[in-house]
Amino acid sequence: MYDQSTQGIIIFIAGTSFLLLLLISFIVSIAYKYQQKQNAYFKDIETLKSSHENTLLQSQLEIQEQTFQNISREIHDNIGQKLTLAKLYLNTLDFTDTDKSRLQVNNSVTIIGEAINDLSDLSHSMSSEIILTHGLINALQFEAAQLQKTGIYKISFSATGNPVFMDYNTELMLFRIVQEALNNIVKHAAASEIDINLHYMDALLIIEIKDNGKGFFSSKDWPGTGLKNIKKRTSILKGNLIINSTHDTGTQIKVQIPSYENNKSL
Amino acid sequence: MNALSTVVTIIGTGVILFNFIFASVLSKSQNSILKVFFICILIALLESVNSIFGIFLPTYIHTFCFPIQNILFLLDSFFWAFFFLKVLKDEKSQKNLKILFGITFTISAYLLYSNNITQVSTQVLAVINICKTIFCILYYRNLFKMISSQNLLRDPIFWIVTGVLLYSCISLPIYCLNNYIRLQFPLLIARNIFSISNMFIIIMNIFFIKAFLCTTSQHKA
Repeated sequence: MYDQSTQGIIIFIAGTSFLLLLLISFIVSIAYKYQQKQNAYFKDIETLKSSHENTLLQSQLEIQEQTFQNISREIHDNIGQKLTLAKLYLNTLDFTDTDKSRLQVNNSVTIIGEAINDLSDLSHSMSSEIILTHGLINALQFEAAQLQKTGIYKISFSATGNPVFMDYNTELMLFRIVQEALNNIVKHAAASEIDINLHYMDALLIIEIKDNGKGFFSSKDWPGTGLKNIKKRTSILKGNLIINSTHDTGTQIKVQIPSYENNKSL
Repeated sequence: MNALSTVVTIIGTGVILFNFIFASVLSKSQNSILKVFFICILIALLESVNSIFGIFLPTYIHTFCFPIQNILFLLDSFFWAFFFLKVLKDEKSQKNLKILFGITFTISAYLLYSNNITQVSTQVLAVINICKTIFCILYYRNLFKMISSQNLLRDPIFWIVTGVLLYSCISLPIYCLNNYIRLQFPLLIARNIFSISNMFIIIMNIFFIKAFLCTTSQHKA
């Protein structure tokens, strides 16, 4: 049999080996668990990316649909009416009364000119290309001008700070956010004044859309899916959405977007 | 000193010297973690060289070797704490680390002051190793908080921390049972048992070499 000190050494070596084995299995399990968590993380990122792409596609489709609606309304209510009026003027030309005829022809020319301008505006709004070619500020200005033309709203638009050209997808999302907010005002707010403000700060872009409409009490009263879509899009852009609304005094929608993060390709 | 501990000390010094050369080249990079790690390796090399002087110069061992070794242990613990402070990004963990190191350093300094400084204080080493083990666990816990896209097995910090954990955990019971071992076993066997902890210094340094290899492959990439 072994003497006491040999037994002690054997116990010691066994203990050290056991401890070593325990440590190795601990480290291996850590590496394995980390790998699993990393795989899940990559999967999450993939899902997020595909959901982001879906939202982007949805945004593009919504913009397109909105544009088609605008075009059909514009053609029916505006251009169609103007051309009909011009046709009426020209149909009722009395060549014996040259003064009256001249006036009618002049009126027809003016009306046709207006119709051509309206058609030109329409062609601009045909696609989201305006964001790509002219940037977010111009696209929003154009959108505001289109709304102003209805004569129902008094619209003020301002952009302060040093404008930063952001990634196309980000600008498209922001454009869609403002468009959604304006749609909500048109559909539900019964407002007469709309303020759109863009503040370009060092690390932040703040977009404010204010109206003097009837407002709403709480988030439960959010009309339709418009505000929910705004919230979703803001979170995709890693931004903050602040909505202040009181009954009968209007609504203020404030979207804060980190400009640096959104400058990179999403 | 017996033959085994002498061989282990010399091989260990050789491995640390190799690491030191590697670390001195890599510390020229902008990575602040590697710079701190280089200082840790430098202190480990000084400890090893000091031990070799102790082996070959019997008069040196009690006059300078042990006091210098004890001071180097404290310095070593300080720079390892600094290393982990750089590695841990989470503020809460950094705060915990600072508190833990403050306590460890105070206890170690008190133990050195109250015990005989001309002897290697295994109690101090035990306290420092407990502290290092907790640092390593903090690192592993933090690892799961912030998942990175990098493969863990290609992360130099992972290999460094794993090496430190292996050494700290294996040598911890040896340092804690120091008095028991000295009483129960003959001197030669007791020294051989202590050589186990020195062998794990070599293993720890092999992990560091792996970490360096990961760093160089990262640089190339």
